Amino acid sequence: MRNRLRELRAARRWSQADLADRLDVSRQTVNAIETGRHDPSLPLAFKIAEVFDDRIESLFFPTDTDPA
Amino acid sequence: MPNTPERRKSQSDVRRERAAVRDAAPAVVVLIVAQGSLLALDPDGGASARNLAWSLLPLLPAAWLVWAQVRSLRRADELQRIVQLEAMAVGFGAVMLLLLAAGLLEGAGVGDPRQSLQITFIAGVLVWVAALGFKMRRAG
Repeated sequence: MRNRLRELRAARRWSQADLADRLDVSRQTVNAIETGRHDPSLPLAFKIAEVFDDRIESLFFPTDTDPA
Repeated sequence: MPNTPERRKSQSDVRRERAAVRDAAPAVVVLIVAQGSLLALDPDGGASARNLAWSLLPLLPAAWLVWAQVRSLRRADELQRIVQLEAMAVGFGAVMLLLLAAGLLEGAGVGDPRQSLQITFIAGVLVWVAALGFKMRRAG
């Protein structure tokens, strides 16, 4: 799954740790989501959408390689 | 690695790490003391109830460590849980392989079974911790 986290975070001048603080997760988790190595759970995806005041579907995009 | 603003730990990480140390540190101290006193006072090897209880004393702090690990997993975020699960799977696999090797060696009359079990335990923990470190590092 692709996402716009890095772009939105950079626009707000937040570090990964700043975003992790807002999401109550580790910095590694933010990094893994940004680099596409980890797809967040639905509750975390909702939390991310809330932090960026946006809709989930405008933050995350499915790719052909996503598991069914 | 320098703790730059970009790479600093999140507050939730600091909170989780402190809680994990608070849970596990007393158990580690008690385990070292119990194991040390066992080695220093050396139970006489008889099958008395007192001797049995004395020999199994380190199991109490070890069980405390298991409880601390469970609490740490409950506090972990979703990626940390996945990483921990994978690291535990690697550690478990290492223990199974070493136990099999110890059994085969014992069947062939090679080596000391007591030593083999100690090596299996220590190696299992080390492989688990190494896998955890490697996978967390890979996560970023």
